Amino acid sequence: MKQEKAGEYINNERKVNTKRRKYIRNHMHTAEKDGKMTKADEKAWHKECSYGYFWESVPGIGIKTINQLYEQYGSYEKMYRADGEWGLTERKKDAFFLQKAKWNVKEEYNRLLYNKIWCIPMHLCGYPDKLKEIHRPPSALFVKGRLPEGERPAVAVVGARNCSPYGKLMAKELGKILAQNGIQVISGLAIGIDGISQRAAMEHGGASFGIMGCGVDICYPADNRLIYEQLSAGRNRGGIISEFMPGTKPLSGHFPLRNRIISGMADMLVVVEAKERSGTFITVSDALEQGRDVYAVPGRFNDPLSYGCNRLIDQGAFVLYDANRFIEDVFERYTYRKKRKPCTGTEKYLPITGTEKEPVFTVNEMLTNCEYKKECGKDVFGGLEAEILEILDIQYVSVGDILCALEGCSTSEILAALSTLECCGKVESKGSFYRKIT
Amino acid sequence: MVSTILTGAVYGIGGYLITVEVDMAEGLPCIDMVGFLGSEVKESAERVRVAIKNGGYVIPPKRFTINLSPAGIRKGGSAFDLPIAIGILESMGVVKMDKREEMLIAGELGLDGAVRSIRGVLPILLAAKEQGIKVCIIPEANRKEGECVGGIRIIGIKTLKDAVGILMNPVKLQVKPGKTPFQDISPWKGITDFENIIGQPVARRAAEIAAAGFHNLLFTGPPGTGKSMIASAMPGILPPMNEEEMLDTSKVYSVAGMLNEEQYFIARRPFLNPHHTITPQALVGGGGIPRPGVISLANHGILFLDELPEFKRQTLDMLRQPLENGKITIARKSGNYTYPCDFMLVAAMNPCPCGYYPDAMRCNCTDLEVKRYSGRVSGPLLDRIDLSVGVLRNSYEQIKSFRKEESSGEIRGRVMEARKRQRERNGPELFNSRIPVTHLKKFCILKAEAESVAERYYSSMDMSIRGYHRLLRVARTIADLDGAFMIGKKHILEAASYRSAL
Repeated sequence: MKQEKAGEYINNERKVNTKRRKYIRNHMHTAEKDGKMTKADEKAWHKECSYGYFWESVPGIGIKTINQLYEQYGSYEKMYRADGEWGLTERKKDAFFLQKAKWNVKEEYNRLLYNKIWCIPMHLCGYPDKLKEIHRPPSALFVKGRLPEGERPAVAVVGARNCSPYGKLMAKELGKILAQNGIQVISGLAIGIDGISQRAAMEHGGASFGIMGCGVDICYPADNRLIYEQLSAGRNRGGIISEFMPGTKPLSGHFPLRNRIISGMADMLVVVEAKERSGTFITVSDALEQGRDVYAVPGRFNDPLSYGCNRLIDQGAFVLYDANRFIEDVFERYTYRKKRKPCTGTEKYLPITGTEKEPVFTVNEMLTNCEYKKECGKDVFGGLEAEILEILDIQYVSVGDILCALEGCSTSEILAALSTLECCGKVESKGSFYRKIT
Repeated sequence: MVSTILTGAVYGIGGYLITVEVDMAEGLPCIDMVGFLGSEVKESAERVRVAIKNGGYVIPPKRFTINLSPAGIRKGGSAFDLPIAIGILESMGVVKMDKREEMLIAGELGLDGAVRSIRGVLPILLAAKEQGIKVCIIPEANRKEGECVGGIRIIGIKTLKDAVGILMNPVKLQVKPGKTPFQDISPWKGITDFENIIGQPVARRAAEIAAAGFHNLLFTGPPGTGKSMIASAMPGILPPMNEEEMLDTSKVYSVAGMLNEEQYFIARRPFLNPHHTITPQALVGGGGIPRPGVISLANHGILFLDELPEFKRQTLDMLRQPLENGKITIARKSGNYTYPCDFMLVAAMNPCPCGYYPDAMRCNCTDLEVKRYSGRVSGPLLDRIDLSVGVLRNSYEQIKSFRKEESSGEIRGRVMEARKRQRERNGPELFNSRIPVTHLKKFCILKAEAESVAERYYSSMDMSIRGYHRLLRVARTIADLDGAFMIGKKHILEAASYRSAL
């Protein structure tokens, strides 16, 4: 009886292992990128990865130390086997031995793969070339799904979490045109601009990549679970990427760090909406440091959420005023970076889903197409409602201000008119603040 | 010989009569007390013994057995000292009582024989009056409170000797059963006047509607805009209480032991604003023999909860049932106690941790933070709030243009008018906010155009049935303020603008 059970167990294990191997072969494009990797190579690569994963896991040993050691030994495994024979501080040695004692390299790595997470240390093939150029590249990347393809341009889209309807619209359109042109979208999977642009890209068949400030196995923020699941599941959709160990909590200190990966992985950075003081500017300064161009979507001058973008433009950022030009620019940048192959035209970068490039809207067209202005037809409403619509903006306006602007109207009249508008879906309210719906 | 004395006690908010039976017999000298007594009642034997001695009487070395009947209810409080003392004195032959079935005695004794004030005089005397008692001997400190009952002779005494003196001289019992007029203070004295509140037209309007229909009200807004000030001014625009309501509320205060010689009656609508650290028991009432909580003390008045999300969620959710029923039943080992709590809930809160949401210029809170903050107030509680309104920072033009503000008196005038209309339609004591669902069809008649607006609103806003009924009740009040018989389109629309905005 016992034996039977044991046999069953072994059988099951075997099945799982075969499945796992199959999965690895099918999904590991980054490793197979030149298509020449033999089975032996693959095995060696995985072995190195497993030791890379170990080094990642040692607390107190960081990017600098790992790189230093790697230069000395040329392999993660050798570093491990050297058994502390390297000239490092006692504290780091202690940390190493402590971790070595409790970490089973093979088992932990298999568990990682079982959870469909890749660990790609910096010195192995598969690690994005673009990231190697930046200052303090992450010593390893954890990936769920896949990494961005080096053969396609990538654009980072960032912006405010607490964005306006205008920002939402811009992020949506941007995600769409990038997807339609086969450009990969890189962003932070945050609420607001990040999530919206990634979602739009996803909806239009494009690939997008979420760079996390926590472990890749944690969906943060939970609001974006849908995108998170789509990205982490399939090879076509994109991937979830992080430099932090799986299980790392989303601490506030992690987010500025991950910003350098967002800009580092992209050829270009687009800022959609930002307030005067915003985390977005960390990404912008990272991008400039890394030599990436920064584009800004122009905003309205009286809107605090547009302040950041407009100031960027003032300081010399590129202005995203024409979608076609922007797309051209992206490809130009990309080929310039590639250097090897001169740009032969855009045919090479077909959209991922369709065979033909769909027409691309300019930003101006975008505005008219999405019925941004058209909807607010006044003809339907009589006097007071129309007057209120004149006063309202896409920013929240308080009832007090409306009352002030319309002197002579009673409070109850105005409240009734606002209710009418809300009922018809022309305005939305939050407390006693109202704004137009676009 | 057994002597019996009538006295009273409180159960919940009502009083009931208790018979104190004292028997003096031969045996070992001691005082035995029976009848399901709380520890403070058991202690009274010692107080009584010393008080009698210090009154100049000598207790003979006999065995006294004292029974408090009915024996099935647990008795607490210190009101039994005096009747027990009188009972002992009577069995000793010091005093003589005739018409004992028409006399009620209650009071606490000090060791020197002084008679001290007790809790719950009002409900006890109301019960006594119902049972046909003619004369009541109570502590002098409670006399005024007792006189509010009316139609019953009240004699206030200061010492045990006074009591003996009065009982020995029946002429003194013939005081006039006069009735103290209800406290003649202006019910609105010392309350913030609405003319001092600058701007805030929307919040003022909402306060007026809430006062007229006794609707629950929620103010949302940034700090320092006057949420608490408007709330504290609200008692000034509520219609005054009628006698029944006064008596109702005074009873609660009497049971809670919060009446004294200066304030012996509650004549103005209570306004209570407990701090947000309040415990659940203090809010709804509690204790071994439960005392009324803050919500019961706010009966027929306003319960103002400032900084609503700072209250513990558990505490807030306790309000759900009382808000529906207007009373709370507390079950304890000693029995079930029901207290009235028909109050108007006025609450104030900031929309987010920093307080300025959705003003993008000043608010730096993330969506999540805002959600989490407002999420501290449970949905079912918000669902019971009829009017939700934002209190906003005044712009300078507003401060300027609204300089001449309406006073509370003017607003109160309109509120009273609306109250009158409600009384004529709904029956004597039914505020619009308390119209039962069964009567909504009868009382809230919609004009045809209003009907279509309500229908459209109902479907486009994903309202619940309760939300819809609430809309109707608020619209009814607005129509009453407007002097309209039927609810019109504008009333429905205005009511709709006050729905919960969180």
